[in-house]
Amino acid sequence: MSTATGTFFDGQSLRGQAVALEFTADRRLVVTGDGVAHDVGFDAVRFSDRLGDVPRFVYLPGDAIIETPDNAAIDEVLAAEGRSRAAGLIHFLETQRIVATVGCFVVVAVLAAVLRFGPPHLARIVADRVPTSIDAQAGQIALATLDPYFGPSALTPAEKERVERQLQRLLAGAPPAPRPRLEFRSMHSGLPNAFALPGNTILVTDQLVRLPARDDELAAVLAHELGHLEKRHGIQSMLRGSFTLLIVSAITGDLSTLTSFAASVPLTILTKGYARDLEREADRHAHDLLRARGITLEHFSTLLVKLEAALPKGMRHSNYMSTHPSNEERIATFGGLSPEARTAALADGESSPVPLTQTRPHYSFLARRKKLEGEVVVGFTIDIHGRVQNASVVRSAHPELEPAALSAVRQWTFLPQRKGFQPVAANMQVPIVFQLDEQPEPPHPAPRE
Amino acid sequence: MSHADPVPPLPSLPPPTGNVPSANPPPFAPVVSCSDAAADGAPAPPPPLPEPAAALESAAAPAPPIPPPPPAPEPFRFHGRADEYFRIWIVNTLLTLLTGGLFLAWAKVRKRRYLRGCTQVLGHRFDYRANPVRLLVGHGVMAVLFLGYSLFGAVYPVVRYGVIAVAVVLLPWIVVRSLSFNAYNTQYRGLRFRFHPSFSAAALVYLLEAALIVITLGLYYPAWMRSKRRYVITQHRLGDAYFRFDGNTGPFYVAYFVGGAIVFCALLIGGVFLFWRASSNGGQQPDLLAMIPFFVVYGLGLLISRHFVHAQLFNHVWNHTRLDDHQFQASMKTGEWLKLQLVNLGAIALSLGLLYPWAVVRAHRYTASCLAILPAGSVETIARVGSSRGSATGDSAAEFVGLDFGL
Repeated sequence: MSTATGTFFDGQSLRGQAVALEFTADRRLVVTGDGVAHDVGFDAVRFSDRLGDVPRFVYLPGDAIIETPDNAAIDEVLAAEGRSRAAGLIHFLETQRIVATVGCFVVVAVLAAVLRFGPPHLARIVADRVPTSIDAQAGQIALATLDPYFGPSALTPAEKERVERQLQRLLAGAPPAPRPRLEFRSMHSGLPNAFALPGNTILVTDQLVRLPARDDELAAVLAHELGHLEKRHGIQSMLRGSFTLLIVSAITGDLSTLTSFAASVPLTILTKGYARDLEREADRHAHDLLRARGITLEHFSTLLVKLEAALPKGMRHSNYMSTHPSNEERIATFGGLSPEARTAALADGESSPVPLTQTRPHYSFLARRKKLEGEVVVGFTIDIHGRVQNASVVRSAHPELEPAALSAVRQWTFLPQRKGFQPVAANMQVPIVFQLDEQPEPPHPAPRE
Repeated sequence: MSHADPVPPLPSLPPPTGNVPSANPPPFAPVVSCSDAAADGAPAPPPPLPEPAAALESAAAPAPPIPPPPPAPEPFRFHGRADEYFRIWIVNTLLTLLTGGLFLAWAKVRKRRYLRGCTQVLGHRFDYRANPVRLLVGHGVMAVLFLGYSLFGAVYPVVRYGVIAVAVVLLPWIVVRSLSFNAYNTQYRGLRFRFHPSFSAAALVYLLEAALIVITLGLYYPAWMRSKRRYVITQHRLGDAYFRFDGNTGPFYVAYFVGGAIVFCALLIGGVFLFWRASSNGGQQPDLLAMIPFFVVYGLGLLISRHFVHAQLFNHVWNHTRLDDHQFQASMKTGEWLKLQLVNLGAIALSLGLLYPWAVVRAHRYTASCLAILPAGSVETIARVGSSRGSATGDSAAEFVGLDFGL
């Protein structure tokens, strides 16, 4: 039998009455006070769980309650009754300093582990089960999202053909169904790159092809992107973001903290960290695929060297903020790079202008009738976009041939000269030769005066 | 069900005669108990004010009645202790992590019970009686909805717009359910709080008036905050007593204007810094590392602005809130509050979040110390009325929207 004191509230108003509680041996609670008398069996009474030193509430049948600070007495009764064991255990844990101290470390460790490994693991499991139709749909969306950063490709059909052939080479034998397709775009920022998009699409930028990238190097890049596609990294990335968000919100107890800035910076760092292990996985896939197709692994490394050289100086930022592992690490994965191969790769960064389109000058009827033949040497500058600027005649055989030669040259396009993989302007002189050939002219009406 | 006239009879001074008004209930005494204390055997607890009538009992000549002393404000008190709450918090967080988040519902209920159970006013504390299982169901539903939204929404943007549209339309319902749930499960001296579920009023505030914000390009926002506050306060009941709010819109505009100015200044400072950085770099775009000081300044600006607005409006809102005729009084100092929050932020950041419970207890303690109730008579006249249950999904959904009813 134990006793306690408290305040009785009948649940009909805020008026309280000081009462004495008595827990009798025959399992009854007797409440006595001025104008209050209750005698209830324990089974009809409920108690609030022990929680620190917060006052205890005894819930009598009906709406009446008793507020009592006497936690010890209530605990005694509950222990004897064998009730509220789980809550009692939790309270016990909450009172032990050692639990709190150890708990700190465990919480931080578990949290770190959950955040680090949870989302990628969950994302992988779910991504495997996502049907390919959703994949295709996601690809459309992804392309549309990337649109502002790209312009239409300026590659010649021959260049595109080259890339297609490399893809064919890699897929030979066991093409995955459905076959991945290539999209060509020009990146506004001028950076050479290739992207694997969900929906089985590989987006290749003009700047990558025109780095210049050799055939085997193109094959190496495509092998890496194929790795992303095969392992469905696109969907996985999306899912990782969602799972991270969900876990952080569960931990902090509500989503409103996520809109707060403080949580979003660590989130960004986390997601960037995730991306790196996806890149490593794609690298490993490329490694195996290139070996299987008999393509020298070194070409991956030479391409990496070229890509790094092609970046403008300010952009070679720290590894921490970039989504790819460091170049050194990736080159090591692909068997290292000899200094000679590195120099040879960098040498590719020096190239002369390559003509792309060369419209033929118009050999006017008048000039042909006058039997004017000869050379017109046109000097011009090829700017960094490959277009002709400042075309002027250096010397010519006949002044009448000059306008035709100039207007033709102004329409020419080139791949610009490259120094260290950066396009530079170049000066050039080209002789335009006007020569009558032996073929009779096709009949035409005589010009009127 | 019947309920007493919600407005207790206004207290009046006793007639200045020698008569002992023994038959009438003495002024300032609760209506429920008669002055004849012996009859029903339930003497009223001493009313907060002395009975002037008793002083006149033996006077032969009429003496001028002693004017009762002005009612004293009863402060709120917070009895929570940082070390106690820290232990509760760490154990509950640990259990939540170890059970993969399933324990979250129980953890939430325990934490809320502690914080409310340590809040005391007029000698008694608050009880929180929510059933964690209902919260759990709500959590599960919200998790599934959220996952579906983010996965399908990323692939089919139509889904995203659809879900947002549905959420906007459902917002009044979510607000009402979550406030009902929290109110119903909070008890004071045996009476549960109630939230009157008027969906039309909720729709008016959360849909129509919210649309006004868009139409006025944001100028209506402070007025909407006031409208929201008024709606939330006036729909709460305790027993048969109503909460009332008569605050003006003016202070809201002032507070938000100054808050906005603070954010603007922070942006300016950050922007100037960025510009200086970029120009000394040779016109290059700063990378993420260089942007960090800007983010820090901007984040601080947002934080200071938010807490400034909170402190300003706390006083205005509470000073114009009353429970029937019992007036609340608030005396929060903006400077103190800002200092408190900044120290909290520093502590949480430096301790990797482990000092969070300490920060919570600090904030609660200060908030309670700034709040008081000025009872106009005894609060014990407040009586019970029928109640309605809330629902847990609304509560969980409200968390996602960040709604809060702070007591």
